[in-house]
Amino acid sequence: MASRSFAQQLRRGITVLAAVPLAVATIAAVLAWLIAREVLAPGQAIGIVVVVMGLAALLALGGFVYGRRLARSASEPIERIQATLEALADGDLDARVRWPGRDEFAGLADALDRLLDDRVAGLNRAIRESEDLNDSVIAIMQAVGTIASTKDLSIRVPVTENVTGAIADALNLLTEETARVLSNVAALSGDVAQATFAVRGQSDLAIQAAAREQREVGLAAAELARAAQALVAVADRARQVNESAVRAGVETGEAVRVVGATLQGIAQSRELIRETGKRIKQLGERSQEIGQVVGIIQAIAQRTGILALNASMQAASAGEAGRSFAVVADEVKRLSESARESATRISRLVNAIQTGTHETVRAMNEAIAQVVQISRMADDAGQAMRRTRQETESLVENVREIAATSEEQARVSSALQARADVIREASAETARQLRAQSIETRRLVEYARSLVEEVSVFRTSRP
Amino acid sequence: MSSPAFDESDAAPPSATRFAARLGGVSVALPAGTPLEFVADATLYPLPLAPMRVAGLMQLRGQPLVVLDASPRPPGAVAIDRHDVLVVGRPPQAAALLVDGPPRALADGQWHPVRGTRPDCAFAAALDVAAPEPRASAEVGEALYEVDPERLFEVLVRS
Repeated sequence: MASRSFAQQLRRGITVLAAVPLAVATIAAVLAWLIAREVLAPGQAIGIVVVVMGLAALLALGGFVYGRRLARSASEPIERIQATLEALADGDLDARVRWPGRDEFAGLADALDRLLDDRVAGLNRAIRESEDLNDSVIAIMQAVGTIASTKDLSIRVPVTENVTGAIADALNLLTEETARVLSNVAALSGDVAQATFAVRGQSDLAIQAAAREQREVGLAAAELARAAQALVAVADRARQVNESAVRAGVETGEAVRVVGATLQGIAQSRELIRETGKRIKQLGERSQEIGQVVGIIQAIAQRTGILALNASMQAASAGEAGRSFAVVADEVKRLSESARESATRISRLVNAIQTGTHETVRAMNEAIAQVVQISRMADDAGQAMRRTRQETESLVENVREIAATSEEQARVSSALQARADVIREASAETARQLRAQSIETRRLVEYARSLVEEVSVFRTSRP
Repeated sequence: MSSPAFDESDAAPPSATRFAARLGGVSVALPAGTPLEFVADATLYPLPLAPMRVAGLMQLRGQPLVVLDASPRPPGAVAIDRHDVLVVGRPPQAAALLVDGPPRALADGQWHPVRGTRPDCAFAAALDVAAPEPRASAEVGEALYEVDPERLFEVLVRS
């Protein structure tokens, strides 16, 4: 029995329990058939039934005993297992089933014991690991607390081989990165502070510039107002100039016609002067001929004088006989002197005429040159006047456009004045905003200084 | 055409007693009785190896005449640019003098002789210089040196 498994015993018991009623029923059926065939007498049948019932009772008794034993063989290991589990539940990790035998319960108990051994070993290992983990966590917490209290980011969290090693590595990495970032933040804070100082300076300059801009915008608005008034005046003047230019164009056309007539008159005068000069030159040549004749007369008078002188000398050498001859010689002398004086006067007159002729010819040549120059100037003046007329016509058109443009500019200037007022308001608003920005910038400077101070409490391994 | 009647008494000028001429820068008075003839622009022909005072030869109506120069010419100067000559005498015995312009006829009262001083010239010896008068009245007319033509020629030839 002990070598059989509980399942075999259970199957055998069940088979026995099933065979008894079946046997009883079969016997009952056979008895019933026999009785029906009247093979057996009822008494015999009753005897057989009693025997069979006795056998059945025996079988039932045997089955009861067997079942009781079977139940005990099943309940004892289960109770042992239950007790073991309860002991385990009570904290007795050394409790084991330790059920002898080779049935299923023994196998179950052995398996349970081996499971418990394994689990207890695992639990002990877990406890040790938990203790190591606690130590690591405490070390990490202490290192973090030291870092937090001392602000020394150069402190490193001890790295263990358990799971906190990765955390320690991560914390160290975080600390290093934080130190690096704080270093950068410190540097950036310094830069921010400097930049903020610079921004504050720029803000002050911007405020001053905005103030100047506001003044300049005000001045520009005033200038624009005056410019608008001036442009209106310019538009009025442009209209007047337009009318004057139209009149100037008409006058220039008349002047061109007068200059043309003047040019014709000057050309005629030039021809007349040239002809007169030619005649005067001829007169000068004639006077030269007269001068030559006068020279001959002077030579004759001189020779006559010499003749008279010689005659008087001959008369004187002749004495009283030559007295009459001396009278004649004296008359001849007077005649020659008169002729010489007349010739001298004629010569002076001829010279004067020649001089006057030369002067007149020279003056006429100069007059011709001047007339030519005047004619050229008049021609130039005529061309200039024609150009002036063209330019005046262009001027009229331009002045008309200027007048229209001036009126448009006057309107635009009025609009610009309104815009200038808007700009002045905007500039004032900009100045106010800049003053507010300056205040905020000063606060930002304080913040930057605080940030630098805050960051400077951290000590890092970096210089 | 008729000429007006000639009235000799009214028209007669005072008779010339001297003829004033300038010889070598000296104003001299030649006597009116001397035959004189003035030739303007006379052509002179220089004579080679002639004496210093002989300016050359000229011709007067075909007659050659010796022309004397009374001007203070420096030695070696040969160019003569003056051609007014005064012929003294009648050809062929006449001679000519280079003068500074035509002579002028002078009557008495129009000149007076120079007294006392004799000029420094080549023909000073030929000049008649009167003695100065102690009570000299105011002289009228032009101051001239009187000269004798024949003596003038002689002095010039000798100088």
